[in-house]
Amino acid sequence: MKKLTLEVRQNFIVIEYAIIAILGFLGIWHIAVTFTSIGKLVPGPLQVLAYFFQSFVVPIGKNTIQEHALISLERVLIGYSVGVVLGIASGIGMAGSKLFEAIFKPLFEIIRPIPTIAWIPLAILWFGIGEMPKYFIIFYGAYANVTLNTYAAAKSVNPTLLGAARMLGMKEKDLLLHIVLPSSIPQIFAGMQSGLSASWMGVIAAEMVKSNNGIGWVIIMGQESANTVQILAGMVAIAVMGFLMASGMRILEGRLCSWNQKKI
Amino acid sequence: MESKENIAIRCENISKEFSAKGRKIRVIDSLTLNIYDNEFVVLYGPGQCGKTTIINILSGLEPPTTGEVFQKSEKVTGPGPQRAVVYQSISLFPWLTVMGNVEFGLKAAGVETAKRRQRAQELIDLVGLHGFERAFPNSLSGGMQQRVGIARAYCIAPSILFMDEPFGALDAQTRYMMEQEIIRINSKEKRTILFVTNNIEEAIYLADRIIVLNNCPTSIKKEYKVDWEKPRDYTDKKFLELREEITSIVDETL
Repeated sequence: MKKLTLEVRQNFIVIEYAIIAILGFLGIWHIAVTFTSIGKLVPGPLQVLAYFFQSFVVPIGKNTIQEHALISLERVLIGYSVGVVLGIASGIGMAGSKLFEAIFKPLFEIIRPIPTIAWIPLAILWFGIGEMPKYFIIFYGAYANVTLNTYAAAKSVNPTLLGAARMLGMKEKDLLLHIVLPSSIPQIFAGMQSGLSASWMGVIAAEMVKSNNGIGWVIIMGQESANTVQILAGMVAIAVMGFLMASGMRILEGRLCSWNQKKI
Repeated sequence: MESKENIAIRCENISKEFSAKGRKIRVIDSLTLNIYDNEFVVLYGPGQCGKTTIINILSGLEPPTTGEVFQKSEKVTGPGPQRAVVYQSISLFPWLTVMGNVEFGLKAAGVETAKRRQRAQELIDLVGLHGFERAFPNSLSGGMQQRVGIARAYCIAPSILFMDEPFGALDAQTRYMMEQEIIRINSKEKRTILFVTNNIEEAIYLADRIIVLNNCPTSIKKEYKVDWEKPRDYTDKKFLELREEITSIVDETL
């Protein structure tokens, strides 16, 4: 019981510090804008937050800001889920089959250093200006990260565990699904985390290049109408969404990988 | 007792060579060994000679360079549930609970859930882990983890069990306790056991027969039958004399 209260108290300290740090940042921003010439370039935090909350009811373009955020989120969820599923399958496939590995590993090595957003022009040329190029960019960001992480994890599976499974009578064909995949899950999650950032960056960039809605569009419209407040409100929306998604991933990881955490 | 029919596993003239940097290193040199049904045999040898390699070859995990291994009349060509292994590195499946690990072999064999749970529960109770069925290995101490490793190996009812320095990673106190435990467990679930150690007290405490090995390349130096009642007393005169004798012949080799 004592241990629990200590843990809870430590959590409270962490939360307190986080709130103090954020308020401190906003305070310095506010003071800098009010009392120095920075105020001519950047609006203050109160103005930005007022605009941000006002956009929940007053639409920017055709949609309110939460609708824009949900539009971006929907695009990410579609492209990302396909990317994760195919990425895990490709990574395991590459680790499990010498032929697959020989063909696809060099391809991935070449494609790997190309950032997700460099694909936007090609994606628009290939898929036109609708939803498809955005899905493609998001998919790609997730797929590349998840495939490479899954592959690396599956290649480094502990050989003694494979030996133990064989010794206990598991058939060769079942090893991939029952030993290699579960032992790779923590590293697959690492790939899913970086894949999610890549997808999220991809969708914002793609919306900035060609779109009629979404958070990226809100930001680029702010630039075109020289509306700094709107740009910053869009950035606030991105920060909030990013935080929520990262927290969601952590909760999911805590559930799926509880066995991986040391409890002493 | 020792006739041809009750040889549990035998290897004939096995040798093992590894090549490293273009040079061939002989780890095991023409080793011939019979292990009889229900016998508790301890391979005792100092240092890093090929003890683990012997276990790997006998259990089928690695093929010998020359020679053959037979379990009863069947040639051993790969790993399988007739030859269970308890590892020094313990090597539990970390994503499975204690129950998941112990029932793993029966699940792989397609035994229906209720039946395999019942058998796994018996083993979990036997090794003293009642109440920890749903714990993950990471939350258990080293000694408890190795209890799971032992239960997992016994659960598939193998005809022979290999134990490769199973208590080597444990602290002295836990090790002593686990040695008593293995005697108790094996009196309830009688199996043929080949146990590898570099600890002389452990060897004399557990063995029906001690096989003392030469160091690199590994071959048999001498055998000792130990036929006193178990559990044994570490301070017994016979115990100390045998310990002295084995230590003296091993010292000559070094």
